[in-house]
Amino acid sequence: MKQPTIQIQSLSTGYRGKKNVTIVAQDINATIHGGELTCLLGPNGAGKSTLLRTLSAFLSPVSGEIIIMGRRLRDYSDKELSKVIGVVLTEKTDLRNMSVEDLIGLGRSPYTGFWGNLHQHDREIVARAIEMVGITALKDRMIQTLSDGERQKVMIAKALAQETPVIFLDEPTAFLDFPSKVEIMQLLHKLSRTTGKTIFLSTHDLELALQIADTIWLMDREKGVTIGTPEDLALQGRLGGFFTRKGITFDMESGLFRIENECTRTVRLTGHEPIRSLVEKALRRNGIAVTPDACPDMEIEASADMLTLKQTGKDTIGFNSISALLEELQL
Amino acid sequence: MKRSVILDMLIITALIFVLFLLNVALGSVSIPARAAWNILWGVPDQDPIWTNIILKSRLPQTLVAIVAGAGLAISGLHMQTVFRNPLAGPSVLGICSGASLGVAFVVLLSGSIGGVALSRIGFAGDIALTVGAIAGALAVMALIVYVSQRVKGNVTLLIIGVMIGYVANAIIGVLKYFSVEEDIRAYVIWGLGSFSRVSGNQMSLFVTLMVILLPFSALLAKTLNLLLLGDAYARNLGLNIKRARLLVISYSGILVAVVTAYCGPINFLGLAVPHLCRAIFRTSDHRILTPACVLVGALFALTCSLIARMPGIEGALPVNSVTALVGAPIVISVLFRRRREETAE
Repeated sequence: MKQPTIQIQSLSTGYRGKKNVTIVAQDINATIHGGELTCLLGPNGAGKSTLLRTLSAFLSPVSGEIIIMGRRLRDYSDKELSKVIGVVLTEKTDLRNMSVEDLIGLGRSPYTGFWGNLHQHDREIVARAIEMVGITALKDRMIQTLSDGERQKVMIAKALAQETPVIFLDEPTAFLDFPSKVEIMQLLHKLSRTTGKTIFLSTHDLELALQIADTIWLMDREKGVTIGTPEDLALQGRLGGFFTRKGITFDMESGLFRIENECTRTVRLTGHEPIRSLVEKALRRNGIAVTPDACPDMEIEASADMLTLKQTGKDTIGFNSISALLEELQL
Repeated sequence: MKRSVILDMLIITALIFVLFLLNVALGSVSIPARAAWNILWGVPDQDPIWTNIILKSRLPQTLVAIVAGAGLAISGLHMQTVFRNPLAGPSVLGICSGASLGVAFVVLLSGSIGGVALSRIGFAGDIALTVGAIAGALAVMALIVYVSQRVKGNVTLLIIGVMIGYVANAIIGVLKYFSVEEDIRAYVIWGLGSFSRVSGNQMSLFVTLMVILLPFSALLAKTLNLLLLGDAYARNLGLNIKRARLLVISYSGILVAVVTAYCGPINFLGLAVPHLCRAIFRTSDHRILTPACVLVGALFALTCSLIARMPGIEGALPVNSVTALVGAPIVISVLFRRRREETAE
């Protein structure tokens, strides 16, 4: 199952000017596997887009070699490459008056003849791509009437219709709302498993990538590229090192990041899940740290129907919502 | 192709046929429809004056209108797609201005330097105008093609094209300043556009040239469809962007050069017809839009040409005025209707 489809050997990416060369990332050595979803993470300006543009052959490498399916990228002709790599980009196309089906049909262009007419075989592949992405209901809609998320699905279907073993996506979820982001990421993960394609994407959605990706690439101007499964990277402390700043901590237990507020008070919190965790989260947001240990002056007990606050020297008060409890504590 | 598309095309073709006959039959000299029909079909023993009017004046004018309309519409469609700009048209790359510059050189310099007013030498003058226009247009086109292979962004290319247009117009202004009034008038009249300036052998040459050129537009349909997706997607689908640009720009450049040389700069038609076609056929697919533009462009030009010499109007109105006066309301109303339907959906 785990086959290396793309090998990157001491690759440097950048832009070649008339006289000088601007290098964006240096000496990248890596392998991308088929049947996997690989996510490229990194801060703005780390060179994610430049790397993707280089891998998609929109930009030639400054030095080094990219080998796709056992053959050097620069040895492919434009025509051959269109059958090996499919891309999905961030920006919206300003297409109007074209049906979803026709647009996905354009994905067949590398295979169609002079006029670009689709044959029965091509139509079947387009229909299958539409089905895989789950947009059968949108098939006859005009592109301009779709939401951003639907549009991105259409472009993914286009890449599927292109029948390439490799699909590169440059921040495909950038302009989407949260449910659409999750949907697209899950769709891509599912596709990588069911089709065995190599799917490689850049994203800023750290949490999603950590939960859904098989392999994570961390990219940074100074540290270069670090590669591993999200869990390995967490154990090695690499993830923390990459993104931890003031206000962000890495929660080793969940393998996710947490926004940390500075806490000035502490309270003992007991009770049942999930209420206990939710109360803890609300308290932390308001600068109150939670300890399981005995606490001298404040104690909160959370049960299914009541939040009870005990403070030394005061009466015990019961609350029926978290906001009421917070209001009391603010005083 | 869908049924409705074919039906629409047939209706438009029928309308073209009707307008063709009207163009031949109607004019400042009234000729009975039956006689006009007979003359067209070469039935012998017809009134010699009528025969002359129809075969020497109205028929050529009608044929010129058809091919010129089709050519400008195609060129407008191509420019709008290549530059992904709905305001692009045949004149956008300064090719029209190049033709104007060529004509200005011929008309204005021949008067000032050669001492002959071109308007007086008739036929030879016509040929000189045509040659001047084609030379000017092709020179600008060569420049644009050269630039298009060197700059990356479409917007840059568009701006350079517009700049070249300004430079050409500025040179024309200077030439005008130093010219005699008579020559300026001849130049201005050329600039108003006309389907009737061409006659005789020149007309046959023009129509033949266009009939040969127009079918080539079909070869670019797939390329243009890919360009709709934007450069990056198109490249990823195996399209060589530089070569595609080169082909499309030089092809429509030649179309504009030829039409402008024979009919003068006709502005509105090339910009408006592609929008009309998109609205009527509700598609961006160039496999449908290309034939649609040929048909609608021809129909549009025939309508304008007919209105320009409605009975009661002495001589003919300038084509450029008629295209916009008649065309703008049509285009606006069609776009409005489609927009309403879209929002109602």
